[in-house]
Amino acid sequence: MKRVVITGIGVIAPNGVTVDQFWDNVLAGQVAIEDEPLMSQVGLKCRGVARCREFELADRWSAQEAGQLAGLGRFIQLGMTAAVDAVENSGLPRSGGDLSDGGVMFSSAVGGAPEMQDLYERLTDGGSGPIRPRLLTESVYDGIFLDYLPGMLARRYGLSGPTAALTTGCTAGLDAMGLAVELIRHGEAPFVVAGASECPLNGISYATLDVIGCLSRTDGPVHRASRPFDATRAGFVISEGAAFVVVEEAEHARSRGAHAYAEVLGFASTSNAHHMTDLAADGEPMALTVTRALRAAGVKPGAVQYVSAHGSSTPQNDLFETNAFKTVFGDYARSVPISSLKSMIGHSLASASLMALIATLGAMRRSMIPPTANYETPDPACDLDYVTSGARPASLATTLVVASGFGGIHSAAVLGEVAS
Amino acid sequence: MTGMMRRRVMLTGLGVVNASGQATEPFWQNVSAGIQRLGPISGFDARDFPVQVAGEVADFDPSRAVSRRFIVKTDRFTHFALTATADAIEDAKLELDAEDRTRVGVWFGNNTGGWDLCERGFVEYYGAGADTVNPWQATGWFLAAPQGFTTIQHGIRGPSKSFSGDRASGAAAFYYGARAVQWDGNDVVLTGGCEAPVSPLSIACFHSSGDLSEVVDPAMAYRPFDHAAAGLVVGEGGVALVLEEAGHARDRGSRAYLEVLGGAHGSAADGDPAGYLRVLRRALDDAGCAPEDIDLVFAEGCADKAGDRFEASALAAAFSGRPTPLPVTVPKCQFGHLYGAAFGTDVACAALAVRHGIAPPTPGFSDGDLPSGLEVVAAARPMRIDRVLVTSHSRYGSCVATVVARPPTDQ
Repeated sequence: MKRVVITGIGVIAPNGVTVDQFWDNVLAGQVAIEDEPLMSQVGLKCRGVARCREFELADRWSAQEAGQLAGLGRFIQLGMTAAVDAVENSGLPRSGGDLSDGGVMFSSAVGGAPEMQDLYERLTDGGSGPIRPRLLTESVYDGIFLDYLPGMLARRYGLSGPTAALTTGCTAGLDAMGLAVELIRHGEAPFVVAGASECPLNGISYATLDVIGCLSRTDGPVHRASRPFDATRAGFVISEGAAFVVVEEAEHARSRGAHAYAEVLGFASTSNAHHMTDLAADGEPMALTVTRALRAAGVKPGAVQYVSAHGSSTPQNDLFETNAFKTVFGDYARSVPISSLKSMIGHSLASASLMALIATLGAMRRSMIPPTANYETPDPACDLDYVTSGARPASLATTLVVASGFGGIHSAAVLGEVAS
Repeated sequence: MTGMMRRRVMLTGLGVVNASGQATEPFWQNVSAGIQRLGPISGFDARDFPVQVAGEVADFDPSRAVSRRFIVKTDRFTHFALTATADAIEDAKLELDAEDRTRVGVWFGNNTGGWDLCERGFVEYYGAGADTVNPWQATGWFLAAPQGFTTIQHGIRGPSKSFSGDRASGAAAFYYGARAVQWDGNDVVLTGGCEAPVSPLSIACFHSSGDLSEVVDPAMAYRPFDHAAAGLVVGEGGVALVLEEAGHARDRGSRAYLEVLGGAHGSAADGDPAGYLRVLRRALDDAGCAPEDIDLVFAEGCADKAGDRFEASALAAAFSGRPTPLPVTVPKCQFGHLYGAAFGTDVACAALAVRHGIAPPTPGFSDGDLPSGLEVVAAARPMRIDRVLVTSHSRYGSCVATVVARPPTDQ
């Protein structure tokens, strides 16, 4: 079976629009959560968002390209930028090699949800009447659905391998990487650009999630609205961002002298078949998923040195995960460091798990475990080591990244260091 | 995929819901006879819309297969998926209680999501207020909702994924669903997908792509490969196919419709047919087939002049040198392009074509400039069909091709 390494990364996050800036801020525990006035204006109870405020199309693209991207969904703008960063970071375009067998595995949970709301407003005079047909002079279709970005990326780099998009909600980013790894292992492509992009910061997205009580309703300063594993946690903070990795067959990478951030040792995904959003407190579905990922990786639970948790800051998820880790790791559960990136930048649905994966690559490279920010009040039921007082030095050879999402999906990936 | 060790994949059950039928038998009776089922949009008042024709599922009753608990929580596109899935499981005589449910998966395609629920949500949001939006939209509208509800309804826990990719949404789902069995991730996969694009907001959005026919006469609206091709007509519906590892199917005594011999997925993002040709050649090679082994092609047939030229020239090049012209058919012009359910429905059609010995026709085609070596099946054609190629390509160049064949036990 072929082995697969990560040779390129790109991220556009609320706390960083370059990988180094992102890693610096993640390890500093810097929170990028802010107030969203629209939430209270429209009568919702939720609080806080995290936006990629430093992202400007004009900073990253030629005038012509920026003009083209400006007409598309914001998730495509952030996504293309992170994807191009990842591809350039991999060195593949400069390697002189033939890129034509490469593929793209994209993902998003809600795609152009804000653009869809704009469309509704345009066709109903601002929501005041029935939907009336208007002549739409440009393709709103391209900016809302998911197939445009993988096609655009393939065209830019001359990739003729598989191009597709996954829609599995809040696990989709990790799932895209997992499927990309499978493609490479089975010889379908020498490398795949895998990623996720999400921009769900619009009124209807807030409303649908707030009405079912998913979003944070915490009191106090808004920058503490996301507080995974804390006893007073009360929902997740919704955010935007994009994250991409280039996964590459190990020999292909070695032969061109590429730097590898890590090897993807194993991946697994299962469904709980229980409920679209509710989670059983015992964590069994996540325990099954992690156990399968470790088995696929050939890694014993005791060898895992860091867990990047889903840690969404909802009461049920953080307990669910904690109990899953107790099942998988047994006594070792109390010794393995666990943290949640969402404490700093909220939950960007499909892209959250790949942002967490890229943060984990930073932790491995810098030998420093990212903290869980905003943790103050211990929860007796969540009693593991959540790295709550700042980044912690540690040499990390083997790490685990997990994600859970709507639809009852759980996914996990095991990463291993690559000897240089 | 190379080597002799890979697991073989059988298709052992199917369920279809679309404008041509809400069960396999009526669907096949209509489709094999070429009975046009497109019509004026009835789901909403479309008189002032630039698109007036669609393939709608008349008198669809979700309660046949969807529990009351789920009907209110789910959108029409999930109803289609759950109905097709229940039928496919029954058709395959699959007893899930006897299965290791962690090795059963759901691999679905859907391009669009649940826009009925979305439009309702917008009415609530702008009318009574954001805090009155219905509590089902969050889990009901997103594109993986059919997967989630299907896994819950049937207690399915194995690796499952959903794909969005324009017209090829369901093609990617089928391709990777079959691979999930071949690659030993699952023993059984329910693949297929669903689409419910016939709502005002959705039709407006689809129309802005320029891919939809504006022709008002349903009989003349969707004409793949024809001189008069003017775009495709969308349809609504769902499809589910039970794929299982050959030994697993044999052990439980099931009769397979088809074996999935192989396939390929690639990109022709620059619009060059050479990219599509590469995918077709890889698919034949992966399936261990020569061009002359293929009896019939179910093509994408998007009825866009450039898109049809792109597909026809790739097919002609892949099959050049055959002693006889290659029959190509696009039965979806009878019930509309189902996007997430399109490819699975074509595979279901292929299964029935093999079993019944009839190539279903493309009634929208009467005359077109096809490259030599290809002929469109304009009228139903009785013929022995052993191996079928099913193809799809998306607006942005994602190309999928799969070869399915009469199973060895039926030869």
